[in-house]
This record gives sequence, C-alpha cells and structure tokens, in this order.
Amino acid sequence: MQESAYILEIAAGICFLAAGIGLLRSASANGKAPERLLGVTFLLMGISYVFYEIPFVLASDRHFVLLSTMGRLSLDASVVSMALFTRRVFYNTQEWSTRVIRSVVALLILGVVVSGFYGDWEGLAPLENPGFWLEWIGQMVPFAWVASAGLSHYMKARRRLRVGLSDAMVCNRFLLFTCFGVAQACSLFLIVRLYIDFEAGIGFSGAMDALLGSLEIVSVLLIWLAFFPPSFYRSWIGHTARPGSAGKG
Amino acid sequence: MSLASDLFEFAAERIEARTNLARLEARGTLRLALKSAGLEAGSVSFDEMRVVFERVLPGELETRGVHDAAGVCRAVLDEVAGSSWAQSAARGATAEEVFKRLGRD
Repeated sequence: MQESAYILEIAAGICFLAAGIGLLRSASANGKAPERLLGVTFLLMGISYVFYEIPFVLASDRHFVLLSTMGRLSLDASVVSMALFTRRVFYNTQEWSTRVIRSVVALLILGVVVSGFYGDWEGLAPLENPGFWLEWIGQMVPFAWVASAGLSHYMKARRRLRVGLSDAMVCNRFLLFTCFGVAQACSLFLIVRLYIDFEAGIGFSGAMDALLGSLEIVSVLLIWLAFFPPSFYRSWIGHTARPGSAGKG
Repeated sequence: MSLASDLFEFAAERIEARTNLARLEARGTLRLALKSAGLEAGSVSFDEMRVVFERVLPGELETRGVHDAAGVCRAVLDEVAGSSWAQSAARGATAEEVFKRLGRD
C-alpha cells in the first residue's frame, strides 16, 4: 500500500470516528434509536479503519492476521448496524425488512466461518475462499439498500418540497445519504479488484488504493454535509431551493 | 387497515359524494394528487392531506371536469377535519422527521 493511500484511509477513519461520537452524543441526549444506530455504524467503521491501517502505520506485519480480522469483524458489525438503521428509519413496519436483516447477518457470519475454514481470517483471498463472497454480498446488500431507500425518499421529498411539505435541507440529506450508499458500494467493488490482484501476487495497486482512499474521503464528506452541515452549505441549499432558482435539493 | 388508510378512504368517499366522479375515479384522483406531492395513501397525515387539498387536488379535479374544484376541496376538507380520522391519523416518526432531526438544522 502506498503511503499516500493509507494516509487518506486513516483520515477517513478518524472522520468516521468523529461522526460516530457526535451522533452517539446526540443519541445520549435525546434517547433516539436512529441516532444511536447511525452513531454505532460510523464508530465501528472508524474502528475497522484503525485495525486495518495499524500494520501500515507501524510498517510491521506483526499481528497482521489478528488486526485484519478485527478490522473485518468491526466492518461487518458496522454494516449490520447500518442495515438496522435503514430498516428502522425507512421500513420499520414492513415484515420483509426483518428478513433482509436476518439474511445479511447470516451471510456475514457464514462468510467469516467459511473463511476460517479456508484459513483466510483476514478475508484477502477472493479467488480461493468462497467465504469472501458470502461476506462481500452481506456487506454489499446494506449499502445497496441505503442507496435505494435514500433515492426513493429523495424523489418523494422533492415532490413534497414543491408543495411546501418538505425542507430543502432534508431533501438534500436524502440525496447525500444515497450518494454515501453508492460510494460505499463502489468501494466494495474496488476492494474486490485490489484483493484479487493481491492474491495473484501482483500486490496492491497504488492507483487503485489511492482511488479507494479518495472514495472513502468522499464518503466522509457526504456524511459531514448530510449530518453536520456547515452554515455556508445550509445557506447554499436554502438559496437553490427558493422558487425561481435553477437547482433544487 | 391503518388510520392513514382510513383517512384516505373517508376523504375519497366524500369526494365521490360531492362530484360526478365514480368511486374508482375519486380514489384514483386523490391517490394521484397524493403521489404528485410525494405522499402515499397508507401513511398520509391530516396536515399533509390538507396541503394536498389546498394546492394539488383542485387542479387534478379540474382536469377531470369537476366544476368549482376549489370549493369542493374546501367542503371535503371541512368534513375530513370534523371526522374522527383527522385526529387519529397521527404516526410514529417518519424518515423525513428522523432526517430532519439528524441534521442539526
């Protein structure tokens, strides 16, 4: 892994940790489950980055398997938390959404168990380890779900905005949340390519690694604008949503 | 059936009674008006329905040849407001409410 790439990923990890802590503080103040679930999601994502990047920061392979496995399990837990958030916020009363959660959890557990059977605890061998793919699908489904639920609600919120039933910032937040899901899904596709190269002995591609780090930074930026919007961004969205303006939400 | 569905059923029935639209036409028109405002019959609240009756439904009714569509909408809205459905169609937190809260606006 190139130095510039892991620095980007460390930065993304720190930002996820900060976002998670911020949302968990909100959850402890208002006792609301969505804030808690999203906070746990970002916190675990941040923790997984820390585990994954420690060997690169220390330039040491010592405890590489243990740290990578911990990173992997943290990421899996964050994905489950994200799926629970999506279900709670968008599909709370719908029976099928419970089945989605159960399927995701089953895929992740099965993926880790099968990986262990193949001796690939780090989850770095997509060519030899079928457990990698079970886990990969278990991670992809929640992010695809985030993207589709976000997009569906964004489209409805745009219509509500036209008749004064929605808020421009909320409408934009649905869009940013959708983009976050898409960015994370794209990251998962890139990871497959990276790991296949790694398994084939080509090593991590610096360019792909930098692209992955950039996608993570974009994800962080989307989360920051969605859930911690600075005043200039709020003003801009408010301005573009006014009647007669070119853009909307 | 949810309370929001009951609200929708009642409103559609009153539209049918006050216009020359058949039952299916009245329900379809109201459903289309809700949809164009980003709402669904199964989850609409009374406050949201009021906005639809004021800003969207008159146009939809006029398109279907209903005379004095705005007057019909006002009359139906008064009936809906006086019904038990209007008071009871409160919901849990919607995705919109959660996302509004999450953004610290």
